[in-house]
Amino acid sequence: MTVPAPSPRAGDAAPVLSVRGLDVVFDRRVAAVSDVSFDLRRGEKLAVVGESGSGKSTLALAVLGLIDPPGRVAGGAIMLNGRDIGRLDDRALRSIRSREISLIFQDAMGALDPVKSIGAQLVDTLRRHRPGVGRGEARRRAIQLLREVEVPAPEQRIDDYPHQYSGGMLQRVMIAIALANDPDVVIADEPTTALDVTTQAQVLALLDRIVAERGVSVVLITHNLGIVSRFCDTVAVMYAGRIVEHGRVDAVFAAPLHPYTEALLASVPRADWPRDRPLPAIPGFPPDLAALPPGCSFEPRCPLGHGLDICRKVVPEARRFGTGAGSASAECHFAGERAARRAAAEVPA
Amino acid sequence: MLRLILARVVTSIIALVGASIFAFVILRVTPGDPTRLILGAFAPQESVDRLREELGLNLPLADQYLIYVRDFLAGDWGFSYSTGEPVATQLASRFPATLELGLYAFLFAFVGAVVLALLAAYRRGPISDGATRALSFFGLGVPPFWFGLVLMIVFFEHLHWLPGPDGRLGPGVAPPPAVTRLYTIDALLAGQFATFADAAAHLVLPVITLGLFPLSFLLRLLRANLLDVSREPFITVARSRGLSRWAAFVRHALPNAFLPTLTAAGLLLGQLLAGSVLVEKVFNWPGVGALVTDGILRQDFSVVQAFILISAFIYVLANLLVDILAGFIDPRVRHAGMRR
Repeated sequence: MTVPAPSPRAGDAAPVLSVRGLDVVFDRRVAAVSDVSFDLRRGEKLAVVGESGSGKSTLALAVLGLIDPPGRVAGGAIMLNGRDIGRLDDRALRSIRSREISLIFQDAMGALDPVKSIGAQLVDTLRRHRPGVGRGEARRRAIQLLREVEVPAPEQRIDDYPHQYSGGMLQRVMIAIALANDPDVVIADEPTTALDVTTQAQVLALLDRIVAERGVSVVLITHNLGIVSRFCDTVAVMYAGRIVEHGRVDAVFAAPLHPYTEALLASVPRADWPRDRPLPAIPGFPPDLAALPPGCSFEPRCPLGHGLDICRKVVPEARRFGTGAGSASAECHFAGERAARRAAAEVPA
Repeated sequence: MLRLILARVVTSIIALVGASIFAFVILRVTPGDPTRLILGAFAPQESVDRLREELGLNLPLADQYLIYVRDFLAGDWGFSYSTGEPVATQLASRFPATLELGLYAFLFAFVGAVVLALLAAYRRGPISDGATRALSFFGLGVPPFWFGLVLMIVFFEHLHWLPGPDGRLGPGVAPPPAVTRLYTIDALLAGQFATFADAAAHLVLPVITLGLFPLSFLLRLLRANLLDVSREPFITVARSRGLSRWAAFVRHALPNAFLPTLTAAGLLLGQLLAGSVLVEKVFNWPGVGALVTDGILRQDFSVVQAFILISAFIYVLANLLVDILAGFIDPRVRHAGMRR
């Protein structure tokens, strides 16, 4: 797959999804997501990356309004098509899910009800949002959807059950279900993690094609940076519940502003890495969300700021650097310095 | 599916044969002599020997068993040694009462458990959790005969809401024309609504008493399973498709949580239909309980054996039903052994 060209519509129109200052807490104290803001334009594919437990999946559920007690959205706004869906009641939220925003889950095997047929779950999704559509019509539409996600012999396979499908085929079904009611935004939470590499590539190529055809915006949650560079336009790096860096994929990957992003990129295994040298890893562990450091959450593991007073005591604010396509924002006290150095290096002598 | 049912039927028959052999042997090897039971302790040895010959008790055990099976299948279930009545007649007059009580107790337990478990798992909180736990501990721990007595003291003695321990019908109420021999159903079939009301009123307390344990058991099991399943990704995904939390619960969590519960329900159904001696005693229920305990005490082979066989049959039938039902609910069971 080539790096996708920016969609013609991307960038100019108002964002489809705009999250502002989102806080999600569990049990009052544990902030799983804190002060997260980002915009998603039509057709944009945003990657959310980070280690396990960094709040990626919680963010996904929060945007769908699916945080269950004891968790709750403690603050911020989630604007979808200009409406704050954080303020909607359950009934209104239900009609938005699948029609305006939908979810592709990481483990396709567990994401479908094992005792209901593929067709039943697809038809239910379709009819729920179009009460006027009859069973036969919905079934025809379901077969068409399965064909669109390249499930072979959809007329027969529609009556099969999840255990009769392979993992890759199930993930195709999940994509069909997620796109059944033409949503504007699809949140894909590690959609290919459970698949082998070949299937992964096929499913991603399929997702790529379908979202391009329909102009759907995608939030792709992953910890696979290879997928990010192949599939996404923009990337948000999460650490301890915060977005610590956010910008265009090419810019961020070429010159990360946040030391965490840099460390994350450095720890990607490469084919040309010498066999006898250990892979670089980020020292230490992600912090306990219930007992975050008072300053920068990354300070204890940071190669730049470890032990520095400012990093230990002051939470860095998100700042924007650069303009146009190369602009990025980062939450790091040293980001300005790094950005300036990068700009200086780019100026021809 | 058909293959599954066939396989189940075959194993069921094997289980029945096993049960019949077991019942036959165990009663034969226990000490005591049925001929003495019939003739009395002071009968001359010659008559005892003659009777042993007549009853076939001198034949090898295997031959005795085969003769017994042959007669049993032909509908000749033998005579009660103590009363001289045909066993089939005795059981036919008693079993419907036990069956009716057991069926309603099971329905009560099952429906109650499903409704309460759904509510308890859906509305979690200290009050609902505590109430469920209290109810199930009470139900699992309290002795049924005591609970039955307490119910009777409250609802019969003090409140006069429900009839006391006078069996299946009040004094002076005639049984409805026998069709199924289950009075509630027969009364409805005959259009005798007063009789139906009387039979139903007589059922309430014994049903609650007998059903409390299976209710609590199933409630605990189903609630735990529901809570497990409700954390599955497909519940979240179902809600992301636009289902309400309740709809996701009823349509997706319940069928999945139901499967492990079903097996337990089958065993409980068998147990309930085979009767409960103590509860029948407390309510003067003219079921098979007393008949069998007396039979055991008197070494009345034919009665006990027939009862064991019928109970085994009911157990096997209940489990067969469960397996078929599980096949209907779960495609993985249905497709087991089939190639794709």
